[in-house]
Amino acid sequence: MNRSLNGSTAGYEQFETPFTDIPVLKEQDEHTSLSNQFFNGFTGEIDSPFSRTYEPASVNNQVSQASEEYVDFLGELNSQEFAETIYNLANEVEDSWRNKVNNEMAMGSNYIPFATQQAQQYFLPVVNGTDALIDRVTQHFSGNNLADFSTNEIDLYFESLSYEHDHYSPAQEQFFDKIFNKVKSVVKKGVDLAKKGISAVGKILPIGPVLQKIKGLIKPLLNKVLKFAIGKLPKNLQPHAKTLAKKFLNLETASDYENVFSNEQDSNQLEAIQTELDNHIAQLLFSPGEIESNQLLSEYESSLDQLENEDYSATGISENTPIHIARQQFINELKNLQEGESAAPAIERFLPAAILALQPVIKIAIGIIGRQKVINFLAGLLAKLVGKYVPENVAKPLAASIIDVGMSAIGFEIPQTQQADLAYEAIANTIEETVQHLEGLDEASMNDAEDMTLQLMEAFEKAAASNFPPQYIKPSLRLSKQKGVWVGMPRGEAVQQYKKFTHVYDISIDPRVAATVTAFRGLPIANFLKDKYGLDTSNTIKAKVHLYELKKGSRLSIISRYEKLPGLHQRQQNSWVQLLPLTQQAASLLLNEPSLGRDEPKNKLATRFNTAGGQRFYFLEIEGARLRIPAVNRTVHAHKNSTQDGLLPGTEQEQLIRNAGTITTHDHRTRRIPNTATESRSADIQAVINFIRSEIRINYFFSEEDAKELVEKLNRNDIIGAAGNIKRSVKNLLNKILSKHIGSKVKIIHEAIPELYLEQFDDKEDQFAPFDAIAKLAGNEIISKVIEQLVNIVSSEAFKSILAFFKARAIEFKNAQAMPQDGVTVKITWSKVQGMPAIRAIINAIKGNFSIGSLSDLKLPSKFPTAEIKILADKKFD
Amino acid sequence: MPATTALLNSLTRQVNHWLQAAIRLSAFDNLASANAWYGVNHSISAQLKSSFKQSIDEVIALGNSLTGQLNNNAGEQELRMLKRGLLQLRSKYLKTEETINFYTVAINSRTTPGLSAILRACDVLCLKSMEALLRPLGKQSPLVLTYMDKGIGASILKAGLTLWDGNTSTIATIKVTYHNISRPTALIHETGHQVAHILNWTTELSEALAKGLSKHPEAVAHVFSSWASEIAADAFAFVHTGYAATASLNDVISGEPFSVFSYHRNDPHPISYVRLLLNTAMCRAFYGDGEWNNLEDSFKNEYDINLVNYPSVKLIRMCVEAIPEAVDIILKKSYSAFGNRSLSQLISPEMVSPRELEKLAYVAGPSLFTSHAWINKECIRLLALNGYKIGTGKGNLPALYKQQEEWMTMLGFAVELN
Repeated sequence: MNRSLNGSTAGYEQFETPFTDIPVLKEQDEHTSLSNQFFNGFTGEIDSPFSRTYEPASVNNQVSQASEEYVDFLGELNSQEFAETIYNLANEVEDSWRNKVNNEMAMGSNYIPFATQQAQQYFLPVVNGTDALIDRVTQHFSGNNLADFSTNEIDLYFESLSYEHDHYSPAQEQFFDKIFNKVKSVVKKGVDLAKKGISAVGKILPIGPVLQKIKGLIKPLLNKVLKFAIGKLPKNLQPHAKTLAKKFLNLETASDYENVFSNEQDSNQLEAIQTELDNHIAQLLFSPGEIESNQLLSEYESSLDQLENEDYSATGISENTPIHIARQQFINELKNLQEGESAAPAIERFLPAAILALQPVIKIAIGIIGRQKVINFLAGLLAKLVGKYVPENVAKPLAASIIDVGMSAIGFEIPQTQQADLAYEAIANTIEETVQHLEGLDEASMNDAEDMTLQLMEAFEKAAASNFPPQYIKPSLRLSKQKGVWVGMPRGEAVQQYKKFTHVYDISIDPRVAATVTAFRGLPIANFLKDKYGLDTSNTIKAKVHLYELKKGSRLSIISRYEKLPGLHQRQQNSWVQLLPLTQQAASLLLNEPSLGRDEPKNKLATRFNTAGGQRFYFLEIEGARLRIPAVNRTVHAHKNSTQDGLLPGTEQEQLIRNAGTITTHDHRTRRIPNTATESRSADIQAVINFIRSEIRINYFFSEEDAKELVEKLNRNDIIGAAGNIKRSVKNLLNKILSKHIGSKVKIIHEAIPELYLEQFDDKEDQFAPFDAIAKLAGNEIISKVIEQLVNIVSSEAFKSILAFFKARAIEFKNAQAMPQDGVTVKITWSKVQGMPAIRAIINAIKGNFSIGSLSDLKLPSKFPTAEIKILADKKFD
Repeated sequence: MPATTALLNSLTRQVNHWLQAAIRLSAFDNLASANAWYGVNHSISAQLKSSFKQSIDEVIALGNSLTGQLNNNAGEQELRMLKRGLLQLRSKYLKTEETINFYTVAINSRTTPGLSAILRACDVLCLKSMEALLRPLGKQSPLVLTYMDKGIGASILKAGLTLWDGNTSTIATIKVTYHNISRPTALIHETGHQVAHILNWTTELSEALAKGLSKHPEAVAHVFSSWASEIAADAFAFVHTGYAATASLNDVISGEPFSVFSYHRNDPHPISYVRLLLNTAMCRAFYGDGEWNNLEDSFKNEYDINLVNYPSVKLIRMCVEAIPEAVDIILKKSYSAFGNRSLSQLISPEMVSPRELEKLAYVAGPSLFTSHAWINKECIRLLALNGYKIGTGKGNLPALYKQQEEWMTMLGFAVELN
């Protein structure tokens, strides 16, 4: 029958389903009237949330010295590796309880307290270590003579601090190192401010009390790490963190607008943790008195509680049943349905949890229009689409088909008693993903039942094709040529964290394909294969390809926790770094299966530490390939038993290298391989545009393999070959990566951009945005374009500088490559760049009183002063 | 107590004893220290544990079956049958224990993180040496577990052989001796045995030597043919590590004169005197004159064949005459095992000639022994280079040993936990 909804006709029963053999069942039920009611009342209930909440902020465009010092300090504090450190720490802390928990679901409300207790034990040595560090530093820099310390004296003091961290895990060591760096930055800035005096920045506290307050940030920071590990970090941490700086700098804080548009999928929680921490550190340093600093500390300690409350109240959905519990209940209900009984009520009960967990866009809409009506409509439709597969006599053959298409191939034997569950699991997955794929469901489609039905059908087709065995799906809709299906993983665990495709592909990776298919930050997989495994990519490489899909709230490292493949397993904690994004390009060129790939927004492909639910990945199982984790010291703080530069004291290598170059060291003690945890890294680039100092820096990181190849050619006197390598690495690869990832690869130090990175700008255009907001967004777009052009000019200059450098000073690069550390960083700095003050002023204008007229002043630098070039062993980004 | 009851009690007690022993044996993590297990490649430990479990499960299944039958009111006749079953159980247990003990002793030699790292580096060297030959021929290399033990020479329990418990070994287990850990070219000799086994080269080589040396006295062709398995392994070590293998061999076989000149009919090893000269001849055949000439002169001087009167002297003299032709047969002749190519075509000894090694050191510069990229890519040639330098006996020898240990430690740590 046709249904008349809101004045339109939506005969969804006549839509084609994705199934090969199943005509849509026609039935008369109560949902018809519910849906009618829902749509009849729809228009009246809809309301844009944005116009009510947005208020243009006041503008204060005056640049004070304190603001300059503040953002300069923020830039100093910010570390590109902080996200990685937090991620690794979260992995380790989760390991501290994960092996002790058999069934997270069965533990119920005891789970979080147990995990917290275990985490506290894990964090204790780190807290003790950082406390001791800060106490020691406080003692040294107490007194009234702070301004007497020179930068060199501060450097020497911190170099003199050495630690014996044999009991630390690699991630704990990394974390200590990051705090060590931040403390050092605080001292340096404190001394700097003391020298400049009160007139420059106003009244500030002595460094001792500031450091002691910073000590108080560590425990709440670690609490955030724990929340991240258990997937409970509030999604609105990012805008909250950004607002802090804006308040300090008297910039506008359109936080309501940002909150409404902040998309959970897009937010980078790890960066938010750092932004929030750095801003608190900075504000403590610039705090005029004890009362203010105490308030800051108290705010930081309690910020999570506030955010969690905001998070749940914003959804408009009171039920908060975790998705894994809801889906298990749903599966049980399907199993127990009587013959002829509709699945719709069970689906209705399941949908709220699925919607809450999966789709923020629909979540907002539901909060406004009344969730029960939407749920009834969706449930009615979905029940018809999947209802046929619910009866036991249909579910069992369906489950058998799923087993047939490869459950045993990926290492799972399903007990007879649990086989039927597979079918219900497929139905639950299909419904979850249908909800997840309802991307275009907006206010307009809510008013248009036909459009809504069409969208649901489209989402359902995709979801069913992923979760039902191919023989159940029409050939034209099948996503793969292989008999494979996506199944929830890990099997036998209460909470499914990811999905695995049951077919494992045998492929040969041609050199041209390896050079074309790109992975994170746009690096070709040829670089990955060479840098991580030392494979020769000029030959065809055979591999087995395993496919994965992350579930919402999960992260990549969880996959290796449960996989038991050669090279990808729990014991090697870093093995997850071998998971590469399965984009449509990768799926097409590697597997000849374009439909299995999923393209994601650029920020989800920029780093493996910021992934999203639904994102797909692959693992290349290659015979003999071993993930390389160089045994070198990567920390900045000294160890009692090793040299600062990682050379083992008293060794032949140390003598050889020190004789060969100009490298000096401060610490010759007994032999020890330092604690390390980072796999050999691939080429990378970073730019820092410091408008406060009119300084631009580009950091080029050559992987150890790239550096080795280059040095080999230099030693062979193959100048043309070496120049070719430099061109390939710098111009053809790294400069292009920089150009394509301006948002995440360019750190901007500017008093109007405390976000530091363009990707932190809220530049999402939307039809609902008020006019003023769109104007503001357009301003951000202009800033992005200006930065992009500046970066392109500078990176072109950098290439020329590097070529010139290698002609005259190649020995420095050779010496750095001969150090045991992983790779070489080339740092190119231009100081006092002409034209930067003008751009700075324009950005201020754009961020303040935007006017097109002011753009006429814009002139990008065309002449650059001579660059200063420094070569360092290891990856040393700012 | 009736005899039947006494027998039943005795059998029940004994079956229980072996069952309990098997259950205790199944706690694999107790058989080697946690550190030791931690130091082993994940795939190896997973394969070993799976294989152990299979063997123990068989013992336990047999024990349970016997227990069931004993509980089933068996009569005297049945009990006597069950006694045979008990003996089977006992034997099966002991064979399983022997197998598991072999591997757990091997694993337990990874006593410290540092030593584990060095042994993992040995694993890598072994694997890479096999892959260089097997991969171009489309064959898969088995996993390798190296371990340290006392003694003068290395040894291998090849993958593909039947173990004490009746299962087939899936992992090549190679012993490296304490004295040779910083100069482990012998590892490559052992992997030579493994590849020859996989490719069935030994049989082909044996036939080629018998036929190719037919113009020499029959005894010469015969003995060379009978030494084919060891010659194959020496040849494999030579093409990978050049003079380093020769120098190392010299130091291992230079024992009492008797051991250098003696001939044992069923020993697959060539007479040591002939073996050393065969190896120096391999060097000469590819590199011309060099350090190996000095080594050979010194060896001949130390073991002057004109001053001894062992019964083998005549055979040795005849064999020495045949060495140049033997070298050609071993290294330059094509074999179907190698896809109708020669060993030296598949793995060129020229890559580890003194000239090439010097070139390697030059183009890499001081990073050769510190850069993980160089160490990973060229670990076998680093072994050859260090072994060459040590073999010449010049320079700071303790420093060379130390350097070898250091780069192997770096290599071992870099592949930890894989």
